[in-house]
Amino acid sequence: MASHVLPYCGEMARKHDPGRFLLSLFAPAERREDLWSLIAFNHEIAKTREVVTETQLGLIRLQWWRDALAGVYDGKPVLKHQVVEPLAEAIRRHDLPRELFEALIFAREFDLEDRAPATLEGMANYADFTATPLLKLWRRVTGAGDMPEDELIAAGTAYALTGLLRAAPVHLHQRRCYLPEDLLKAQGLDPYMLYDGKGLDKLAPVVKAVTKRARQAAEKSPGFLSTRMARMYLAQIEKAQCNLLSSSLQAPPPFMALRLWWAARFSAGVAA
Amino acid sequence: MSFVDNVARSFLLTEIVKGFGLTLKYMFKPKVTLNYPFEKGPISPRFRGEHALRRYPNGEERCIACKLCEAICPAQAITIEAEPRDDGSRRTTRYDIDMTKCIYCGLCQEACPVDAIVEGPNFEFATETREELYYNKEKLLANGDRWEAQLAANIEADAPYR
Repeated sequence: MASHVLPYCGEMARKHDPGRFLLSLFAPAERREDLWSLIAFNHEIAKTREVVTETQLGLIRLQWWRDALAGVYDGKPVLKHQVVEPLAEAIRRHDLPRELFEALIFAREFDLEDRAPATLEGMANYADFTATPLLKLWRRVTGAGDMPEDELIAAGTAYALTGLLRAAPVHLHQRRCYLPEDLLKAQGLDPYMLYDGKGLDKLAPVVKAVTKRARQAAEKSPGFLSTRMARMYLAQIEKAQCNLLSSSLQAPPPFMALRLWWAARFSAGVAA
Repeated sequence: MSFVDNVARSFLLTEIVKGFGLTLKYMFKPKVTLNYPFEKGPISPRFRGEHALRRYPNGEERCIACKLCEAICPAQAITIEAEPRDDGSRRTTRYDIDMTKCIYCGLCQEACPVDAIVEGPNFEFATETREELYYNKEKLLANGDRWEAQLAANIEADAPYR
């Protein structure tokens, strides 16, 4: 049985999005539960592609989330759903804008198309669309100050690109590919080869290019704790010679929590 | 010549010795059979068996009567009736699955936005009468309580990082 110490959303966040869960611990204690409901919501829509076998079913699920949120914003009685209820509370408490949720749900429709992004910029855009709105909601909840739009986008992109790289083996196992198609083609690869486990040894240059793009984004957004975390993971991937299947990537970067705490405590201008 | 050969075989009992030899050889090999009701073959975490309705860890039922499973079911095996409860939440008053109609496609599970209806790992629910295969809500919830640990583990079996 799951431990009942954390609320449902907290447990879900810890289990399914440990990275963001760790980041949420650097926020003030009274705001953490709201962050967890955001993470849980993000997980619920992000897992859509994994639980459905048909595009149409995935769209139905996403539409259900749109309707559930519409109910919250239109003041209808909140559904007895253990993610929607705390999310509605968070929306009310922090006055979270509806467009950002809509943007997150819309971004997940791309997952259902089962298409690899055509270019590296396409992949970066996908990363931006799936992570930046969440980051904006996050900062509203934690009460962090305003940031220029391009820095927010860079932070979201850096974190999500790193996440896509780390998840690539799992995605390939599920016959999904988020690596840019043109870079794969330059190496003589295509997604279907990768699904069959062929040509994985030629993947390193592609990973390297994505790592470089993520580094660029990370350099533009130094003031985010999530960027610090992304940089640690990027360093780990680079150390493994961009081999995503390396066993050294199974463990988190050394002393990650401690280094994040250090950054949050002593580096000026770093916020979760 | 073949006459001599046959007679020699008959008198020396070579066939029987060979037969016993084969039997003896298999006595030292690993078994290929399963002692079925006590031992079972491995099944995938995605195995689609008997249905169950899950609850949240706090005991509240998950189903919110959105009727997506009823709408998606290609065999029209699911029947749902719902009304608001005293606390304002919408809940099912009736949740029936006709297991004789069900084709075990798993679409109900895929459509469910709260992971309430799932097809569990149980494949041993043969009955003696048809009536026993018309499952109602109590039966489905009882299934959920019985299989929850495994259902939760199966759902989480292959999730990547975010």
